[in-house]
Amino acid sequence: MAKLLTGYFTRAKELGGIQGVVKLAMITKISSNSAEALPDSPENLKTMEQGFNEVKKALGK
Amino acid sequence: MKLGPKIILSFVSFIVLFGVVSALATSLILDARMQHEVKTSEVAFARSLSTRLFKSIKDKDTPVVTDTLLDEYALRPEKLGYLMVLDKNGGRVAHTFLAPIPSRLSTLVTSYAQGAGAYRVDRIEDPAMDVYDVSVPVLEGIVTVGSVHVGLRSAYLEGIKRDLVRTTLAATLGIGLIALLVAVLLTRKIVLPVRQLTRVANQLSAGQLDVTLPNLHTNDEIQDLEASLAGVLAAVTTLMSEIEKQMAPAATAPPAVPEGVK
Repeated sequence: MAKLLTGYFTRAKELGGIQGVVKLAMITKISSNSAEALPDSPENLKTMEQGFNEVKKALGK
Repeated sequence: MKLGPKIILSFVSFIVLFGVVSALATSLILDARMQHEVKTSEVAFARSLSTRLFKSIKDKDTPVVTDTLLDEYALRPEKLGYLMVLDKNGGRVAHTFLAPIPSRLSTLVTSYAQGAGAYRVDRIEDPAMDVYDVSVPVLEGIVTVGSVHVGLRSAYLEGIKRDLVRTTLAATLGIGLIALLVAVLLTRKIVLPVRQLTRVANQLSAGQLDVTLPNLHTNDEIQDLEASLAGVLAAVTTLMSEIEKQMAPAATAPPAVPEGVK
């Protein structure tokens, strides 16, 4: 269970609702379901972090 | 038309067009220059004969002139139709004909422009012989004592031209085959990944979300397209998941009791 990866989706949802979650999936190319199955590897976390930052920018937060 | 045949057809059409244009250009440009070069070399040859045989021509020593002409003719029979020496009145001093002389050669013009570099090139189209008659005057000071005629076979010039065009076309054919091979390889490189992505996109459009992307490593626009498709797939899957999550509590919740009902 990739708690850290799924955490980004939770944060994105808090930030922008469904729009935020979908945007994060679109940018990272990782769906919320896939995030649960993927390991919390440094590469995956880096991708998520960058994606999350882009989502924040896009949502103006 | 599918992408593959389109690419191959474009490649081959271009090469064929290029080849035809090259062959035409070779034919047109080189033809004129080559004819000029060959004729100029025959003028030089005629001048050398005129210099060597000057005394014999002036004395109308037919055996000596004939021997020399036959010796020279024997060296290049495929190129030369004849060698002939006329006197100042146009009478024949010597020639290399073994058969009757074509009638058209009896009416050769033997007047030349003044000057040391004078020469004439006349096309002789006779049923028996198609030649360019290259001739120079034999001069004694400024007085013309005769003329030396070299019959350059037009078939020889046509042969050179034909060889040039044939070589160009053969080279084009070779390049065309290589281009065809390149086109086929290129098409496979482009069309196969596009076909794989099209299959995935079709599955997606049919509502099938559990698709696997081909994981291409082409380092080009096709890989970008796959990445975009992966983004869309992830977004749609996430969206579906979110919708399912929102629908789930509603589905499991007990039916709402209308107000006033106990």
